[in-house]
Amino acid sequence: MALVRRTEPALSDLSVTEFLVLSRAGFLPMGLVIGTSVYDAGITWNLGQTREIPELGFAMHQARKLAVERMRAQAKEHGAEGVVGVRLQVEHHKWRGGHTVAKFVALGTAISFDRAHAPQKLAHAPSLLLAGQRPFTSDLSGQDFVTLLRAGYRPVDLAMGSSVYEIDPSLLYNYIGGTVELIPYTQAFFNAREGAMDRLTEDLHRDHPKDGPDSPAGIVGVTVDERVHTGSGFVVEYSAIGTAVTALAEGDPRRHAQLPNPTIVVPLDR
Amino acid sequence: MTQGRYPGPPPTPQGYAQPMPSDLPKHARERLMQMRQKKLFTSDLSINEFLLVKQAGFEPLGLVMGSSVYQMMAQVPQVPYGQWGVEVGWMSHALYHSRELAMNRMEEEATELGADGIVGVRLEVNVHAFGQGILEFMAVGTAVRHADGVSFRNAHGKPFQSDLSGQEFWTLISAGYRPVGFVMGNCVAYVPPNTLLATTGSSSEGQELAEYTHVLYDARELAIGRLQYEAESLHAEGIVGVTVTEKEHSWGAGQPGQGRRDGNAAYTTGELIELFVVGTAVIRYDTGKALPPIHLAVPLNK
Repeated sequence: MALVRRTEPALSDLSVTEFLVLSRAGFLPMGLVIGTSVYDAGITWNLGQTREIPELGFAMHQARKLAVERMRAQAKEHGAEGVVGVRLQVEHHKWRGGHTVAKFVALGTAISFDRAHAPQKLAHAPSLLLAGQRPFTSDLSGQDFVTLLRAGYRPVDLAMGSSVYEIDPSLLYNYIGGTVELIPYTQAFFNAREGAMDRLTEDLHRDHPKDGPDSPAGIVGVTVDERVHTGSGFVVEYSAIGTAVTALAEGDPRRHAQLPNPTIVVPLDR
Repeated sequence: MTQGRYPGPPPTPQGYAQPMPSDLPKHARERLMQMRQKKLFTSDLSINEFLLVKQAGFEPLGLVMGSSVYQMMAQVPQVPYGQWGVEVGWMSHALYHSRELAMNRMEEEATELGADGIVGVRLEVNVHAFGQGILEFMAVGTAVRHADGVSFRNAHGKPFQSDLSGQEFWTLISAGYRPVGFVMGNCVAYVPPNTLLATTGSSSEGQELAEYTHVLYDARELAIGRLQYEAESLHAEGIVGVTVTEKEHSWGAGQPGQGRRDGNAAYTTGELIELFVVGTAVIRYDTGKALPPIHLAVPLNK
């Protein structure tokens, strides 16, 4: 059993409470991990139609994935089991002579289970590494991560999906002066949002096959972001992000730990 | 204040020119089908909410949403002689209709998943840059189903909707209550300039603008009345978490910049305000349950 050992202090962007809650559960920060990616999506042709722009959606998705994979590689170097509190920052898309350039930064804290100092009955808990010895990634806070473990689940991976749509402004001429639903627009926005949601699971099913050890049970904390690109015409991007979770491994002593029945409390912090 | 063409019952899509497209978009169908086949749920619940919803005996099924892009042409109505304000009935109707369309589509998605209800419903307004007076209403929530197959659908046989968080939902269920619907009421009121300027005493002193107060009061009461009507049709016992908001959206009653010397356009064009109330209608379903004991705690999560 490898002993978690560090020769220098580990950086982390955990809050004090997160740090305490994690260390109480036997996890220690291994270091702040960062991955970046600058992506040129090429020239996008503005067709003046209401349609999806698959190249752009693909580029946005690819850039995010690259940033996350680099962050994961760094976590692996630190000998971590996974990354918590991942934040994905997007530096605004710039148009460089018709080219769309996007910068992504993924930033989180790599953590590892400290077997030497963990409670006796958890000392032989299996590692939370994914298949292929890859650290997990998640946007969970330290508290969320510990609560999830206590309920018998573990994080697997960040789930991400993007879709970019172009919207034809000339359709508005059909509706001049009326108070009506603009059905073509409703459909376009709806499709764009659903497209982003749809892709959320696409990669996940490929990276973690259904019968594999990391087959996800679900995705929690999904947020859908909308970003309007105002270059030429009207382009709207939706990106969905969440954390895929799965049940703990068979032999894990934490597996049968039921979440204690919640009690109702009156917080005294105000 | 005169009520607009908008009696007690809330408007129905049938009464409107555009029928609601009952088919969900292509991607929505694909996603819902996939979610049912692969048994993988998606949800915008936080970890704590997710676990509490499970603890309350429900399985999250998936994130559901609906939206409606609506063009709203603001027009200043004629205020009848001797009145201080008037409801703009067709605008109340349009804003209600647009929200209703978004919520119905979300409900359709939930029905498709075989849900008993939707928790954590958020109703959002997006104002898009591509046209004037265009609003998008969007409803998002997490569809849930009771783990033991007990039906929690409402009096209309539809999945219930509620804007309660996972924590609130757990507390409500533990106390023997359950949500039956996300209910809302609205009223768009027009306040003409003379009401905004009407004062009875000397203008050098601060004083209540009694007529303006009255118009807003009236509009709020109308909106709340409509909310109650919706809750009654669901046989609810009460409504929790009611919020009353005043919204101006983006229309404005006239062109800015034509105002008096102080530059306040409302003094020349009047004000167009929507009073909007929402809440979750609940009923008691298990009189045997009572709220668990309450403890005091000092949270350390800051």
